[in-house]
Formats: sequence, structure tokens, C-alpha cells
Amino acid sequence: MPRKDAMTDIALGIRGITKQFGTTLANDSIDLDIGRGEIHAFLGQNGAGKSTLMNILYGLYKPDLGSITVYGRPVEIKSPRDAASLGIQMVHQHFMLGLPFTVAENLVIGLEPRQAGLLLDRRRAESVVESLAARYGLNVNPRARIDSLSVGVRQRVEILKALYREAEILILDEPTAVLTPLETEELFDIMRRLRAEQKTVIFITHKLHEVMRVADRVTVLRNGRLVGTRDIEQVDEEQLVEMMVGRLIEAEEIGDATAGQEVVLQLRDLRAVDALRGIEVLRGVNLDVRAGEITGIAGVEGNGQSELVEVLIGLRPASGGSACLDSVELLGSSPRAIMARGLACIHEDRHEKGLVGDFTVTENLILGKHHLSPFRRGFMLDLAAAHEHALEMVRSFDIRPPLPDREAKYLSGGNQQKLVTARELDVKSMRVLIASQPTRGLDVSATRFLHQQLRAVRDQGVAVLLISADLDEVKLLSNHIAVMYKGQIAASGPRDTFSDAELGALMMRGSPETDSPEVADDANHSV
Amino acid sequence: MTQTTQSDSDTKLWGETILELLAGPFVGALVSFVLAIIAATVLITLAGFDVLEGYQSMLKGIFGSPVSMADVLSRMTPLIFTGLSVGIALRAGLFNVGTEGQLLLGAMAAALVGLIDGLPGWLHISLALLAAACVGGLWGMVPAVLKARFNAHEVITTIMLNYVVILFTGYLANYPFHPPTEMMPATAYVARSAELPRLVQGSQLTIGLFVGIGCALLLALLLRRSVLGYEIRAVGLNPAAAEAKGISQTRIWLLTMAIAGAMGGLGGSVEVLGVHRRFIDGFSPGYGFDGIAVALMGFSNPLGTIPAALVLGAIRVGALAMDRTTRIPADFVIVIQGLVLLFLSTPGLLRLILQKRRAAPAPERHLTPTTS
Amino acid sequence: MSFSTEQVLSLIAAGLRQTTPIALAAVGITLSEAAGVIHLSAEGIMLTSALTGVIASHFTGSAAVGLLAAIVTGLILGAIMAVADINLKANQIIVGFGINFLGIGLTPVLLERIWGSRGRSGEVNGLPHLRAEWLADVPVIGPIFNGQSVLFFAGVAIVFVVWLVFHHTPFGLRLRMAGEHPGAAATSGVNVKLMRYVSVLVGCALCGIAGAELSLGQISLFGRNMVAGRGFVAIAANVVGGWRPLGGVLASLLFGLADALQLRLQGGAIPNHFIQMIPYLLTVLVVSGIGGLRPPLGLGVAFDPEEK
Repeated sequence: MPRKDAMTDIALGIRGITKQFGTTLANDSIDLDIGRGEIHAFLGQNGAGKSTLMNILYGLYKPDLGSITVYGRPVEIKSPRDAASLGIQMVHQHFMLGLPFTVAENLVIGLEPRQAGLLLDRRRAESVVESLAARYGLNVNPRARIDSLSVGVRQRVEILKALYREAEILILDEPTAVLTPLETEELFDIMRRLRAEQKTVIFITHKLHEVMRVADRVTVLRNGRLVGTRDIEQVDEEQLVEMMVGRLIEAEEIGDATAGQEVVLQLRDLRAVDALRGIEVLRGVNLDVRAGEITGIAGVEGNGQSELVEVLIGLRPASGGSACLDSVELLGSSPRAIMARGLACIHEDRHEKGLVGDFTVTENLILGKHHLSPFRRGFMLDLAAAHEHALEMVRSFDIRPPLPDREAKYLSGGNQQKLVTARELDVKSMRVLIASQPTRGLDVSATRFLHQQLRAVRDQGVAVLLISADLDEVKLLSNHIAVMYKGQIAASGPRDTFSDAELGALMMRGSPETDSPEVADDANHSV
Repeated sequence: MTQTTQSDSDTKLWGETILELLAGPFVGALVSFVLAIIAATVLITLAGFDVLEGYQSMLKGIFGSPVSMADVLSRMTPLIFTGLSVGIALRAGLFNVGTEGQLLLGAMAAALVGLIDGLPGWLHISLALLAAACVGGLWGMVPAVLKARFNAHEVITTIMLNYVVILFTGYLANYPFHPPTEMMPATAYVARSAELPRLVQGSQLTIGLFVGIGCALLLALLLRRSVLGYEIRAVGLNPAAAEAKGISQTRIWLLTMAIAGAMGGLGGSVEVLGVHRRFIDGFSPGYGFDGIAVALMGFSNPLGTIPAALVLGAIRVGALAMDRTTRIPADFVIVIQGLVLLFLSTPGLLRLILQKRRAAPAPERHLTPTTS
Repeated sequence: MSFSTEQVLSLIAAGLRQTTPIALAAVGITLSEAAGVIHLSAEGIMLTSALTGVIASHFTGSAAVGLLAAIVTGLILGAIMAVADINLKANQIIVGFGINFLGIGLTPVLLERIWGSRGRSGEVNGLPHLRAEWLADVPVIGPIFNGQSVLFFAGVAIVFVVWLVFHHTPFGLRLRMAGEHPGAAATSGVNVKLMRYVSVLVGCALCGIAGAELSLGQISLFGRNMVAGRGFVAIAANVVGGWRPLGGVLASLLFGLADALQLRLQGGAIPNHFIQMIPYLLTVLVVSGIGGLRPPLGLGVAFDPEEK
């Protein structure tokens, strides 16, 4: 792996980049140099600020503060066009490809080779594709239609597109999110070829092992701040995990679990498949969640946590195993039926899917329960009951302004969050509460408030399943910890069973030993 | 997690609230209508007609006598139904352009049921109306099924199916149900017992008006206060949130289009039983399409449909009078209708000025910045 | 029931006559929708330009000027559509119907003003038809093409040019990408708004020509209901043709021939009502996925690259 002893050739110089959206500071004074002929990884959890920074580099956002230099020249990147003229190209997570068009057409559009000045020279376009492909080792048929190509090949087309436009700095956004393991390896080869041609490759990821495999240097972002930039040779995975995953939490009352109770939610060998990629995302999850306890699942994102939640709330089918609520099977039931049995969920997606902006606070609070008593009487809604209910919710969750008949879109972001949380926590005879990334995007006081709510719910005897990418949060709240790794529970036990080092190792390798090799990777078996 | 650097403000400024009200639907509809009248006036003057004379005769045609006012109400009746039909579909996020077909099928159903002999009046009428509503409702579900199952866009399917119905009912009226001695392309007259009683001598106003207003009230109640109405509104406003909370979009589409179709069908039956007393091929001058204007002017609110239908019915009647007494053709009011649609189609200027309050910028659909 | 050769040829000739206006409008719709703008206004545009063409011919005595007037009418209505849909980001479906209503309402007014009639205009100088002695004697080709309006031949040329541009020029590629994936087009440096503007204007101009064919090209006058739903048949042709110019023309041909056939089968075994249903039923089938045809993915969605 070619090393750079000194930054003699800096492709991108980033100084003091700061970007705020509303009350959220997405990028907080980022300073960084990235060299020519370097593969540079941006590592961080969701919401850490990686994408914001990339979008600034690509000209989609304008930074509030800070400056950028490209090959030593100070520049202002006001649009993707500006970025392109500087040699910066981005390969998006959602491909920018017209499906019914061929590879060649997608590649050359905007810079088409012409025949007789007016006509599209298809033949030349195709030969351009072939020569570029050969040069970078990207195997692709120029005449193939995009919709006939696999995801991995489509990505190659996107990369070729960037190269055709003479990209010197390539930004890849979560490139392996949609690839099979084999395709991922092929992508890494491509990245190495690009580096050999003195291109700069920046890729965003939250997967540690990828970073260790292919990057030269890595920058870790957390909560909008740059935690540190390291050469790969000088850092190991544990250090990276620590950089990625910890956070500052003000001291809170920890509180105790009520004594170990009955198992309310029992998962046995739960399996699920991602149809799109043909891989198993849940590979036999075994877990017991007890009443009166908070069971926290720790783990780096992308190990099956989201899919687990989807299966449990009925939005994704399972391919095997069982999930029993109060000894009755959950799998196969509709979301509504599952909710009726007392399973509540605070989604990670609650931002877009939580609220109906044009509905009043009252109406939003009964969404999902509107067809049940006391809100329903025959065919009609019992508006008086709904109103009473809203007043109570608004009071106990301190939603401001306390006007239940105001449309929810007029509430501030924080109050909208409270609204959704209030609704989710208000489930009659709640047996299980699943909280998935519940404090993402919340400020300190809102976070504290939510933690209080979770404990309160636990104290009422509910079985709480907390899933968080934030290890500190999991350690803070959970009575019982489990670590999820590659679609399975790698280990679980009462909170104090695990040392921090063991937890780190489990999250990264699936085994508590801190110096054992990575657990055999049978995630490669396709379905 | 990201840090926040300032606390959330709790309330929106009252000034902003007032602006929101001004950008709201009622004023929007009013402004669009006024603008349309102005634009139409300009066009008519450019065409060389005497505008003042035109408006004078229109107003006389509307308010001139009890009969003319009754005619307005009569003309308004089918528009209430078609407006409701388009409007309720819009609330669920669907564009129902198929009201014309739903109306014609309902009309034919009523015309045929009306041929039955020997039933008491109240029963006969009820049966005919019920048949019309059922037939219209079932037909209305067809585009919903196609959309749910095959993702077929409802605007195209409903437009095309309209023509299928126009041709089909035309066939029925010209062949199988055509009385041999009849000159017009029509079915036989319905039995006396099926006729909707007229309200005013000399005008075609029937109790159908009250059926229409009743339906509007019913749908308003449904939307505002019933469980189904709540679900319809949720699906129309934020289908993802609704689906996540267990409301099936498919189920709502089907039910909504069934109601929409029933409204269209009832509209047709009321015309047949009240005005023509038989199904005449081509009796509808496009009530279904006028329903689009009614629904939009009534801002998709069932109660709003009533004044919107009244206004549109009035200008139609006035236009007929204008046509008789001046040289300006009655079709001219269709220009007003078109202009109203054009003005209503643009998202309010005020709304463009108002900043949308969000924590993060709204993701642009195609050029979405990465969001991880 | 057997047809003689003569009858078959005359049927095809009639079919081609029916096809011409529909095909022209269909190609216009295709251009607009391929770029991503919903086009429902063919009916209104055809009606209005049919009349303005006749009016212009009436006053100048020249059918060529009439044709020009029809094109200009298409451009004006197209401009309204473009500004509303592209700049103001209006609901494209409502705009479509709005323009239709405009046409339906304005034409009787103009008719009344100029001819004092509610039904039809007077006769004017119409567009020339091909009438060649030598052609009449050519077997098969002769009876079919002899007597066709000049716009039929112009139409063939126009369709060829559109097809060429659509599939074989950079402009066509960019236009189609603007409709299929405006984001991809924009990031490749294509001016999506400009593409859409041009396609809408040209498309509506073609609808204007279609209208001129109906009035000036076929009967040399304007009748109140002369479009009679052909604008919607053109929409159907675009769908059945898979949003491509050649497909649209073939579909129009199918519909045109069917229409000519049904006129001749009056009083036959199948009532012509059902034959007339064919275009509409086919469209419903196609739009439900039969045949694997689908609209461009960016159709109907306003696009703003400036939004951040």
C-alpha cells in the first residue's frame, strides 16, 4: 500500500467548515487535508455529519463558515457544476442513471460525441466507454441497458461516468450499502486502480472492516465534529470504535431495574432476507426481553438492527425462526394486529413518517389508535375523548404551545418529536416498547427527557428493547445488554458482565476476546 | 448525535399565522374566481363584444324571476354530485377524472330501474337511486384496483374509461333499450312512480337538490368526524405515516373511489329521474368535467362544494340567458371555468413567499443530497 | 362479408386520413411527456388552432397563412402550459384541463364574432391535396396516397425528423433523460427546464398543425365539435405507443384504421360503438402494465435544481 510520508500533494484542503440546519449543527468547524492519490475514508454513525460535508464539497450546500482549497487554490463551490469543473465528482447512493438508456448513453450525456455536428455518435460513445473501462479495469458492456444490470455493475457505470467527466476527486457515498460481498471486493480493486492513477478517492461508510481493508487514511466524525484523522497503519479497530461511538452525556440518575421478571418477548433463531441483495440480514437472532427491564442492543449500524425492528413491527417478513409476544407468535401478523397486542415502537424514521403536518395535535396523537375505543364510537370518532386525551398528553410531555387544535406543522421540531414520542409511548396495556435510535437528532434536554420516559415505562413493568448506535446510551440505560453483529446476537448478559473492551471487541468482531481474529465470515452465503 | 446551539422557539409568530390564513384555500378560491372573471372580461372585449350588455343579461338571467333562480338551483344539482365525486377522491390523494362515466352509468341504471312497473313512488325512487349509487360505486373502484395492483395512473385510466362508458351507454340507448318508435337516441320514459317531483312550476328543479345537499352534508360529516374520514385524510396528507400506523392505502383508495363513484352515479340518476325522465344519449354536457372545477373551487371540502356548484350553476344559467338576448355564446363561461382552473393550479404565490419551517431543508426529489 | 381490392384500398386511404391529425398530435404529446411534462391539452389546442387556421385563411385567402396561424396558436397555448407547469410548478393535470376548457369556451365566441354562427364557419381556402394523374394509375400506392392532404406528407417528414432527433441526437437524449431522471440530467449539465420548454412548445405546435389538418386539411371549414375527442385519442396513442414517436404513430395508425373500418361497418354484426372503444381499452391495458410499457419516471414532477 503506497504511503505518503508527508502531504506533499494536497488535493483538498478543508478549513473550519461549519454548517447549521435550524437548531442542528451538522458540521462543526471541520479541518482536514486530503492528498492526491489517496483513498480516504469518512467514518461515523448516522447523523454524524459525513454527508453534509460531502454535499458541501459537491456544491449542494453552502457552508456557513470555513473555506476549501482544491490543489492549493481557494475555491467557492456553489453548484455541482462548479464542483465538476474542479474535478470533483460524486457517486450517489441512489444512482443518477436513466434506466431505459444504455451505459454509453448515460455516460456521455451532456458531453456527447457527435457525428456531422448534429447526430449522436453512438459508436464513438461506445468505444469511449470501452477504453475507459479497460483503463480502470471496470468491466461493463456499453450497449447494455441500465435496467438489465445488477447493482454492482450500475455502480461501475456511475464511476465511469465520473471518470469520463475527468474527475480527479471522486466521492463515493456509502458505496457498499447495496453491494454483495463479492461486488464489494471488486469495488475495492477499482478504488486501488484509481489510486494508482493518482486520483483521490473519498468514501463515506459506517463499516469499520471496509475502512481497514482499503483506506489509506480515515477521518472519524461524531456529532458534527471531527474526532480525528489517522493513517490506517497507525490505528486499530477498537480505537476507531471508540472514536465513532462514544459521546458526552451529562450525569443522569441511573436507576435500577425491577427484579428480573417474566420473558415477554422471546426471539428464537429469527431470520430475515434482503431480497434485493440476496443475503440474509438476520441470521438466527436469539434474545429474551423481560418485563420491567431495559434490554439494550449495542452494535455498529448495519448489522441487522433496522431489519430486526422492521420484522418485529410487521413491516418486513421473516424467513425463519420465531418471535413470541407473551408466548404467542408475532410473525405473520399485520402491523395493526401487532400494535393491538401491546407492542409499541419509536422508529428511527419518525421524522418523515411520524407526523401528518396538516393534522392537528389531537389528530396526530390518535394516529394508529383512532379506530379503537375510546376514540371510536361506532363509525364515528369520539372527538371529545380525543381532545381530553390530547390535553393530558400535552401536559405530561410538555408540548408547546399547549393548543391541541393547532396543526402539527406549526410546532417547532423539538415539540414535534415530543408529540410523536408521546403518541408512541401511549399504548394501552403496553407489553413491549421498542425504541430504535430514540434520541437521534435530539438536543441534550430532549434526550434526558426521553431517557426519563424510557425508565418510567420500564418501571411500569413494560419490557423495553433499546436499540442504539450510541454505546454510552446503551450502557447508561440498559439492565441487560446484547451485542448485535452480522445479523446475530453475539453475546448478551446483565450490564455489568461486560467490560468496555469486551463490548468493543464484540461489536467489531463478534467475539469478546480482544485479540482474536474476526469471526468466520459466513455472511457471504447468498440465498 | 448532533449538538444544538440554541433552544427551540415555541410558537410561530402570529403574523405568520395570518399570512397562512390568507394563503389558505378559501381566499385562494375567491381570488382565482375574481381573476378569472377579469381575464374573461378582457378576452370578451378583445373579441369585440359588449361586455356590459353581457353581464347585464347574465345577471338578469340569474336573478330575473323565481323561475330563473329555480333554474339556477336545478343546474347546480348535478354539479354538487360531481364536485363531491372529484373532491372526495382528491382528499385521498387521487385524481378522479372519471366522474362523467360514473354519472352516465348511474343514470343508465336509474333509467332502467325506473322502467319497472307497479311500485310505490318512494320505493321506486329509492331503488333507482340505490341502483345508481351501487353501479357508480362499483365502476369507480375499477381505476382504484388498477392503480393499487398495477400502478396504473388514475388520470389516464379514468379518462379512457369515460369514453368506454359514453360509448357503452350510447349503445344501450340506441339498441337494446331503444323503444322502436322513438326518434331520439334514448331509452323509454320511466314510470310515473320513478319521477322525482318538481318543486317549482316552469323549472326543472326537483328534490334532487336536497339529495345533493344531503350528500354534501353526509360527506362533510364523514370526513370530519368519522373513522373512515380520518383515514382518508391521513392517506391523502401523508401516506407513509398512515401506512406506518396500520392504515392500508389500498383499502382507502378502494373505499374512496367507491364513494366517489356513488356520488357520480347519484348525480346521473337525479338528472335522469328529475329532468329528462329517461336516458338520452349525450344528455350530459360534461357535468363530470365541470365537477373538477367545482371541487377545486370548493377546495375539496364537501361543504365548499355547495357554494361552488351554486356559483358555477348560476353562471351557466346566466350564460344561457346571455346567449338568448345578446350575441355572446353561452359557451363563453367555459372560458371562465378554464381560467379558474389555471389560476387554482398554481401553488399560491403567498405560500411561495412563506418559508417552510423545518429542521433540515426539504429533500429535493431527484437531486437528493445524501442523508446518512 | 368480403371486401373488394378497391374497397380495401379506399379503406386504407380513409384510415390514413383519419390518422394524420391524430398522429401529429400524438407525436406532439410524446415530445412533451418524454421530457417530463404531462400533456392533456391536445383537445383544446387542436380545437382552437383548427378555428384560428380557418379564420386566418378567411381573411387572407391563403391556407398557408392559415396553417401558420394554427401553429402560432399552438405556440401561444403551449407557452401558457410551459410557464404554468415549468416555472410556476402548477399541477399539470389541472393545467391540462384548464387549457382544454379555454379552447372549448373561446372557439364558439370567435365563431359567432366572425360568421355569426353557432355551428360552423363559412368555407375557406383549404390546404392542397395531392392530385396527380400519373399517381392515380399506380397500383396499390396510387389510390392510397393520391388525394391525401399535403399535411399527410409533411406529417411523414415531421415524424421522421422527430424520430431522428429523439433517438439519434444529443438533444433527443437530453430531452428523454430530462423526463426519465431529471436529477441525472441536471448533474450531467443538461438544462432540464430548457429541454422541457422546447419540448412543450414544439409539441403544442404540432398539436396546432393537427388542428389545421382537421379543418383546413380535410373539410376547409370549422365545425363546432370537429375535434370530437381526437385529442384524447392522441393521448391514448401516445400511451399505447410507449411514449415514443414511432410507437405513437403506429398506434395512431391502428386507431385511424379502426375508425375508418367502423364507419364502413355501420349496421354490421358488431355495433360500431364497441369498435370505437378499442383505443381506450387498449390504453387502459397498456397503462396497467400490459406490454411492459411505462411512462418516463420523472413525468409530472416539477424539477428545481436550485432547491437546497
